[in-house]
Amino acid sequence: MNARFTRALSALVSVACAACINSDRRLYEVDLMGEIVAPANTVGATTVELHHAETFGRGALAHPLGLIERVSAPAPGALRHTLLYPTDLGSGLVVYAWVDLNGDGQLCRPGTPPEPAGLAVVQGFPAHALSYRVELTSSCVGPEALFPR
Amino acid sequence: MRALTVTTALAAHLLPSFANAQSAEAPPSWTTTDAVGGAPSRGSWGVHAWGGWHSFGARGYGAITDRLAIAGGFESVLAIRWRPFVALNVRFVDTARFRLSGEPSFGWLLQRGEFTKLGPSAELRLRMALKFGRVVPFVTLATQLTTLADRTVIDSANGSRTEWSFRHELAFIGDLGLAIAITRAFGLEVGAGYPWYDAPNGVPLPRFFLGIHVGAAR
Repeated sequence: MNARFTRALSALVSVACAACINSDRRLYEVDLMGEIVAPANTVGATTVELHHAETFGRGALAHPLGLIERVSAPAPGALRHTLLYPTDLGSGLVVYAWVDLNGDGQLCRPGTPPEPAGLAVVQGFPAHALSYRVELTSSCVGPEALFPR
Repeated sequence: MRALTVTTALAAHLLPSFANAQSAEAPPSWTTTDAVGGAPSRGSWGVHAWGGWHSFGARGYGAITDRLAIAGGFESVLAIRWRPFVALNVRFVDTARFRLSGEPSFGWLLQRGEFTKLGPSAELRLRMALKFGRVVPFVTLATQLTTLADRTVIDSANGSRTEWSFRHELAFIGDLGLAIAITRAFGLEVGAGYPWYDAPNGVPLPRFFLGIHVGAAR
């Protein structure tokens, strides 16, 4: 009798829980060790964007990129960051970075000097610990101009 | 000025009766009055169903004392948003001309579609009705609070962990209508309302409805 009651109570609690979850997100935690490599004598705040490689659609109709998180660093170089990756919004992992040489907070505003940018596809994803290297060899380009290649 | 005069006259007519809330002069109740004003007398019961655009619902009640009734039913908006509930109906005022009752209820919000909302919901409803023989104008005011739970599962190198967060949805509902008792046990109503779900974010839409009351009033 007690076992039957316990089973019935468990079933009731399960149904109640299932009937009260509104948003059910799944995040994959990744410890990222990165290196942002800029041309010599480059000084400035560095913006690093972490993107899904693909978001909506499949195959040839897949939409490239999808911003997950934007991180700031005081200068190019080593950067360690823990990313909570939403697994149900896309696939793959791409890192894009640029350096704000003139401190205006914008990439290559008209009339300002060119600012270095670059992109790397993180290899080995999914894994809980990954490393990547982004070389800022392009100037004044957004991530959509660099990916897909 | 005229509005003030009318208000004063109405207050003068009603207020003496408030002091004698259980007036022996109160006429026998009608199911229609019980359905829209609440506060049925002991032994009374009834079913109240209403529908129109954009919502519909049904409510059954039974009085266990002269001041307290239990009720249950559901409300739906466009058959997308459903709220089954159980309620207590408490008599505050019942005079020859006026009835006021309060109805705290507990329900469960089940909303499907583009914006899924699921969760426990509490509501406080005030029912007011004037009694002019068979004609019963009524006003209903309600406020509703629903708790919405979100679950996040994080897969890390050390295993999975689950985090819960909670949001709330607030709703305000106001209805105004006219009910007519055809017999003591049967009546009809017509009304309009202005429910504001998901306030202050959602857009309030007016609603219009017809209703029917069936039961036994003591």
